[in-house]
Amino acid sequence: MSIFSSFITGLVFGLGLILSGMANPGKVVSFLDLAGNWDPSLAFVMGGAVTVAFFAFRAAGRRSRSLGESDPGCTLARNRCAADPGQRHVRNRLGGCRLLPRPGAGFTRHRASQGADLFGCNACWNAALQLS
Amino acid sequence: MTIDWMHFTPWTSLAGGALIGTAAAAFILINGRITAISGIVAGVLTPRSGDQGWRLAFIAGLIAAPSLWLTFAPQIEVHVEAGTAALFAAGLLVGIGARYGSGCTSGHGICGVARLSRRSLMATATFMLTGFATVYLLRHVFAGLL
Repeated sequence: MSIFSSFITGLVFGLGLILSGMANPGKVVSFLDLAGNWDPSLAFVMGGAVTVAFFAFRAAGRRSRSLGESDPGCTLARNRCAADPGQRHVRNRLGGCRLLPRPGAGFTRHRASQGADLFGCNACWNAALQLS
Repeated sequence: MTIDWMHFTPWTSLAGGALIGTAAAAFILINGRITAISGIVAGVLTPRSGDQGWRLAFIAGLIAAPSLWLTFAPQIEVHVEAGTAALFAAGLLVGIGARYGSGCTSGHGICGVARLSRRSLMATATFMLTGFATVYLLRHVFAGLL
């Protein structure tokens, strides 16, 4: 994993946050305040970011390894997990899975086999992704 | 609903978003990883077999961004309407939520949505809707009580 490319990526990400206004918590809250004086800017940030990233992820999905492949830790075989956390297995972080379903837990591919209940609250939760 | 035309910045927000998307694109194509800020930070705090370097480098880049910005561009506007205690509580809740939900606005909201992950779409819808609800309650229902 390249230290240099990580640094530059962090830098570009940070500049994007500042340019978009998202370094300002007040602007984020203004987006969430639908009943007040609404500032839709955050939707434009998401739109811009998702559009660019969408094509990158499509391109990444067609590759067998990342461009910085010289580092053996970063071939896409391993990183497919990152690119597709659905492949990753399954861990229940809080143990008490009766109370709090995790977001999207009902959508895991284990659903059919394990018969998730209304809240996706059973063992299939363990499939909740470890996106990190 | 009234739109705050005074503060609405469609073009710079779109451009900033494209920049964020470019960073996410570079990260997956070059490093083969998801640009997930909460996960990257969490990985630093829970060290595992030597993948600290790139995480620290990413965070250093993120922290260096304001200095670089201020070298060439005007002041960065920051408004925070909360006291220290509220910020502490909010930060704790955001942190717990981001880890428990396996991601935040970058990992789920941008990368996950861009790869059309159903769980990320679900997570993003969830934190957006609860965000709307929380701000509504705090600003318009309990505003007098707090």
